[in-house]
Amino acid sequence: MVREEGRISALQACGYQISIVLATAILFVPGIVAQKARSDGWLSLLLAFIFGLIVAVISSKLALRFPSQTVIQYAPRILGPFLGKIVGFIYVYYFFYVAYYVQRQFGELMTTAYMQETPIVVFIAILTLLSCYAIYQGLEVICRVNQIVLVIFIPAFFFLLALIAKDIRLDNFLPFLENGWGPPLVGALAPGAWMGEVAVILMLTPFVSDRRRVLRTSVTAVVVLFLCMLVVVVGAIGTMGAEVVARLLFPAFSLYRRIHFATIPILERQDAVFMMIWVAGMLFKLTTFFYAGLLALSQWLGLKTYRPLIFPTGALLAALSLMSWHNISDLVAFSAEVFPLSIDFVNLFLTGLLLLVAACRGLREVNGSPYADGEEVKGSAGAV
Amino acid sequence: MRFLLAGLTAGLLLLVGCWDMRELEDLAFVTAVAVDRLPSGEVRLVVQAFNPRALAGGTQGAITPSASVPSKCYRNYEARGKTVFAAVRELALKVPKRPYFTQSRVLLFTEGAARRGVAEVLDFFERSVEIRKIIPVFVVRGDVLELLDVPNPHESCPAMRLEGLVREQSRTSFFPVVTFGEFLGMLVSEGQEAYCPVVRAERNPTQKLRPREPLAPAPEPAMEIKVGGTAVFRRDRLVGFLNERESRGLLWAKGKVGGGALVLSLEGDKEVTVDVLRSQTRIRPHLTPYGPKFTVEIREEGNVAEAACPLDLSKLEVVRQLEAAQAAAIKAEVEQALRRAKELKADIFGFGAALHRHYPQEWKKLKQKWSEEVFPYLEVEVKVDAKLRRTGLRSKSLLQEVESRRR
Repeated sequence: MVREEGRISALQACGYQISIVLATAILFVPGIVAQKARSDGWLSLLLAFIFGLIVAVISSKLALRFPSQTVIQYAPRILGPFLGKIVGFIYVYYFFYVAYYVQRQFGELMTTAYMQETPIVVFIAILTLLSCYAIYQGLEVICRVNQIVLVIFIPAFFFLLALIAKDIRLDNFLPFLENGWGPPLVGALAPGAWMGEVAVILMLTPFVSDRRRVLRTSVTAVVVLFLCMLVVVVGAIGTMGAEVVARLLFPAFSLYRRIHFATIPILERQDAVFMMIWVAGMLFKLTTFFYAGLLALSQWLGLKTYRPLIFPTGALLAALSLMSWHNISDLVAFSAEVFPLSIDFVNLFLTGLLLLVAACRGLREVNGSPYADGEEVKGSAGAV
Repeated sequence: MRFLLAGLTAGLLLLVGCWDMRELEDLAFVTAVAVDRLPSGEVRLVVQAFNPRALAGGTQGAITPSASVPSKCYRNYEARGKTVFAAVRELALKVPKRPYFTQSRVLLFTEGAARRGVAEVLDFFERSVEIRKIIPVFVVRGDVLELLDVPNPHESCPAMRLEGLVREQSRTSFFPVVTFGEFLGMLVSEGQEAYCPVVRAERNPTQKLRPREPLAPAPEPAMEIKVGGTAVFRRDRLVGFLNERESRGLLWAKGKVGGGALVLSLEGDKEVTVDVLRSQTRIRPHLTPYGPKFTVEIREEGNVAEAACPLDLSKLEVVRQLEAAQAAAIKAEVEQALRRAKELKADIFGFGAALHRHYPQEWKKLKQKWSEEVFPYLEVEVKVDAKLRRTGLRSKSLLQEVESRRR
């Protein structure tokens, strides 16, 4: 009983790659960048952009070597069965790891900024259930809804930022390179890691109808993400100054609360709008990671479908998200110090390693039929 | 499966606000928050809460329902505590509703609290999500209870009145408008001391005491809210004040003068008043062997609003002469403000910050001794480029024509 998982367009794949990064990145990146690089925060983003492009190119190149399979399926072929399974498991864990990290971030913002008295588990449970439902419906549905969300999210995001554009003071971007290139480089770590999440294309390629465009979608996704992060960082540092931004836990949230028009009061207090689009963005950030993780896990275990795993995994992730960090300071320190390096390890190092070995061994799929030896039955296109 | 999920999703509709559900009737909307410190160091909080029933018309439920006394649409509450949050919670002993701060219009410090240092009391307000960063901050001179209880028939409550005065700031530019967010920014940034406007309750000179007749309209209130001047901070402590002219001098240097009446005294006692339209400023640091030097370049445009002297404004040279006088007047205001700031050793102009932006290495050397040894002796050159654009509906002054007729 092989279930065809469906097809998504290149544009939808790009949307998936954008959603997998966007929601948390815009919330936390300004603070982290301002802390490390102060007024040179925008430079950090430029460096992160270059890093994101490298990851996008590496992962797309690897994906294009085996366009009808996911990384879980071809990792054993590249590295041998044992090592390949280990690497596959790291990918599985990576997706879940980010998923429960996202759940926790979502819960923390909701309890800190909007509803202080509600237990965090309520938010996590609701978000996870919604996400489970979306995943139950399958990839095509996720991508289509995601498209709708992004069409609202990105314009609303830029519109809200346009409202504070008048308060941006260019003075806040001086001094330039006060302490040399060190701080902007350190500041680039986190946003760079976030942009590296576009490596999810490794899981998506088999389902993309126009696979030749995978590289282009990845690069487009990185460009869009770069622009989004750039405007939010420039907006935050430009209006509030690096010193203030560096001390804020959720700079983007504080930024929207600052929208102020003496003459047009209706444009003020847009944080409710921000919350709305951000919650939608967060749902898709979680769903994209959760889905990729489930797909990877089912393929890793050799299951035909991931559906029986949805609820147990969801419950496990919710529990992990609650247990992994003691408090918000723990989470913020983790976001800045541990998280970027750990996901860089997967997105850049492991992916790069796989590409390198595959290139050295000259492995690549021959025109849609990867294995001559009937293995295709188990691991073709999107069969899960 | 689907039914389960549908059921769960429908259930979400019932969870409006979860544990944080708040009914409008159960909230006491705070419109102003004032922080005072008692001599013991305790925090004394005065909040003004909105009484919507009085606004809704009808006397039922209003604070003073008797027909002869107009009902008030606010009530002031006081609470004390070791910390701000303790005092906020102490309010619950007196206020039967949940004080809700998101609609606060102004944040006030008494002079005493400001002199003791605002950082320790501000932490709560920065941390709390209920206080917005876009509300204006003030230092209150005199009794804060008096200020928050100035009766006014037109404006709904003193807090809203203050908000309205802030909106009209560019009519005089005699006080800065500083939002809470900007104030926090100045407190933490290098080379920029904080400042904020000053507000006080004054005796209302329009009040005339006369025997009250049965049908006479309500008399003018005895007190009036007046904003004007600047409170100057060093680190987080209030150290002194700028008067209204000096405040505008500060705002010129900050490029924040959006209007106001600029009186030019020409030779003799001739006075021309200029309506300032807009201004722009650039502060430029220069490095000299003797330390940093600053140039403040101000560009201003104005219209003649009043010419109480016999001048022929249709003549180009007269306009040029007035432009020069205008530039001199602005320069004088800036220099006056600078002199005062130097006396107070508080770099409210942000010269240090400008140096930091342009010459970070130089700033590192001077940072430690900036406020004590460098700023008070700073050499600042003020360059003003003032333009006179229009002269109103007439060119020659009325006085000139009256005098020419007499001759």
